[in-house]
Amino acid sequence: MRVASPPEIGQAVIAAHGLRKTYGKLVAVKQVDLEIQPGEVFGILGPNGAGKTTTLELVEGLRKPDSGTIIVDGIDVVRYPARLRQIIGVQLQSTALFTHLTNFELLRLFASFYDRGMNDRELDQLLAQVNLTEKRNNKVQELSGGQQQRLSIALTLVNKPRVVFLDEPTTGLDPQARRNLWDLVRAINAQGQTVVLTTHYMEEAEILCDRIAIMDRGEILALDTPRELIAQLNTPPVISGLTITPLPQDRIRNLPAVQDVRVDDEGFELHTTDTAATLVPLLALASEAGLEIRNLTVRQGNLEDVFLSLTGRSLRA
Amino acid sequence: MKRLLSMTRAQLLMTVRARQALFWNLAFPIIVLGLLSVVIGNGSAFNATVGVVGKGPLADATRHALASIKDVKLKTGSEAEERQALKNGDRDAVLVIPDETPATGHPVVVQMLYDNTNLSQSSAIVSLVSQVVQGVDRAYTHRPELVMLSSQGINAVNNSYVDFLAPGIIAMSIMTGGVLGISGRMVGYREQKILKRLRATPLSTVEFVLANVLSQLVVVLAQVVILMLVATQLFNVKVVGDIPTLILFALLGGLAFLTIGFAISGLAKTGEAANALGNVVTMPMMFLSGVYFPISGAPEWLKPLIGVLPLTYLANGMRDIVLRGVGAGGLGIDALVLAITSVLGCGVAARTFRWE
Repeated sequence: MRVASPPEIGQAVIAAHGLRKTYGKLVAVKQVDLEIQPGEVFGILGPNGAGKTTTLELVEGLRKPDSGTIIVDGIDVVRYPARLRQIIGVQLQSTALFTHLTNFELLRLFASFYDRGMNDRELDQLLAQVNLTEKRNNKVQELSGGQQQRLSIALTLVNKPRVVFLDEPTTGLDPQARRNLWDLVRAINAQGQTVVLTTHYMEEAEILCDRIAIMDRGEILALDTPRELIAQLNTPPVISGLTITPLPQDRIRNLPAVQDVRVDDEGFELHTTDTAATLVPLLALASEAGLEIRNLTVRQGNLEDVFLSLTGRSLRA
Repeated sequence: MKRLLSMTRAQLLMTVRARQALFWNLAFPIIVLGLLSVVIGNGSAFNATVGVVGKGPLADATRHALASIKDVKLKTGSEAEERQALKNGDRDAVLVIPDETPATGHPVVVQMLYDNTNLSQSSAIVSLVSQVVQGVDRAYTHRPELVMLSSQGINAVNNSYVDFLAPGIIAMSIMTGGVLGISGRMVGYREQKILKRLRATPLSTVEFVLANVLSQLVVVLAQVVILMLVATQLFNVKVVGDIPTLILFALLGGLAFLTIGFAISGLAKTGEAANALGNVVTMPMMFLSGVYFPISGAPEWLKPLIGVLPLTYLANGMRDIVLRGVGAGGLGIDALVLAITSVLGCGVAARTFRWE
């Protein structure tokens, strides 16, 4: 594996400025500015139709922007797409692959397209890395969905790329396959390769990404680390728990720092401006009433809440 | 170059492994050839069973003369037996010859009965037998022959229907492989976004298209060689011309039709549209380009249409090479039409090619 040379401070591996792309009257990308640092896992989070894929394909040189500049690893993408292709790996959203070729033949075919493509020994190591060694001589159509996705990611690595682009890599996978894929992305990143991915799963973005751009309607609404995004949100923490019989609602409402309360037969959920100030009297109240609180949780806001507060609608809608 | 070669190799590997492609490229033409040669062909090799009735010297002389013709099977029996055999279809003709010796001024009347259900066969027998009888007549009268017809068969190879059919069927399979095979494959790659994925690699458009052209030409080469082997070994097709000329000409035809395939894949938006357009292009050629029957029998009003179908020229040229030994020099028009088709197809394909 080629290790990325140590980055100069502030020298982005991807620098996109003023990107705009329209199809007739449809504005797919309105105005996008992005700077991605070497070695980052960078996520673009947003609902379907937000312009994530178009943004990615502009950066990959697959589409030409109406305006704006994109520099990837010092290469002007619009002017030198051929040079760009040598140093990036691209996984498209749900592409099929050639049938009638074995997985190894497919990797070897793709490797042969590059000046610095992997040799057979390296390709076997790659197969091991994506956990497909025993499927080496099987055809693509004989793989499960998760295996196909891992093969598809392996195909992006055959040229030891500087930047790997993954467009919704886990869409349609079951939870176990999704977790395997997260591990794979982390392993790729640990080799020093920059990873840019899109997703509409906020959990995925939160767990996997160093920084996230939240996108909607062709624009980036916020860009920061997951932690900062949530911190900036300033939503009150939520305390929730399960009870066998309902807690007295009026007494909960009168606890210190409580803003909003919901109580039902199964439990309660309340927003507070001061977790500690609310929690102690809450527990006292419960023991006084002779009620056991199970599954007591204190939750900070998450990216879902961030998206909701930025756009006024849910990410999954 | 490395990219071109590895893509070509992969494409060939996929074609060989795709059973469907193998069926249409090789098995189907062989099946068509086999079926049609059984149903229609039966070989045109002339073969007649002639019964001769009579015990006199004239009958013996006639028997002797007929026996010397190798395609004639001679039978002897009573008049009643022979008439019955004729009715049963076991005889093509029966000669009833009186027993008396002929003398000048008293001609002997030889009666000939023949099965006229098969016109071309019966007329051939009538003329053959009357020639024999005349020969016998002259042998008796010692009359000098004043006029002698010297007939010499040009193209004496005695082409059977299978001989006619084989080059046409090979041409047709080259056409379907190029037009339907390439357009189906390209639209499939585009719809499944395989083309888009390739676009994200350093493989260029030219390299990708060229790889598909080269692999298809290798398929054409294999088709010609394998189908010609089957035709000559299994169906006894006689080859007059030379094989390298045939292969080169077939490759030109393969190029013409694969460019049409690329053009269709560019013009059609979806797989269904490509399939429909492919059929619109190939169907008329399949039936009007003289693959199954000589074009000369087609009605006059159809001939202008037939004249613009590229398959007419590929089938015609291949048949000229195989059956008549026509060399490269005699293929000018056919080769020109196929070359023009290639250029036109290439132009449309280049203008309409899309990665997604």
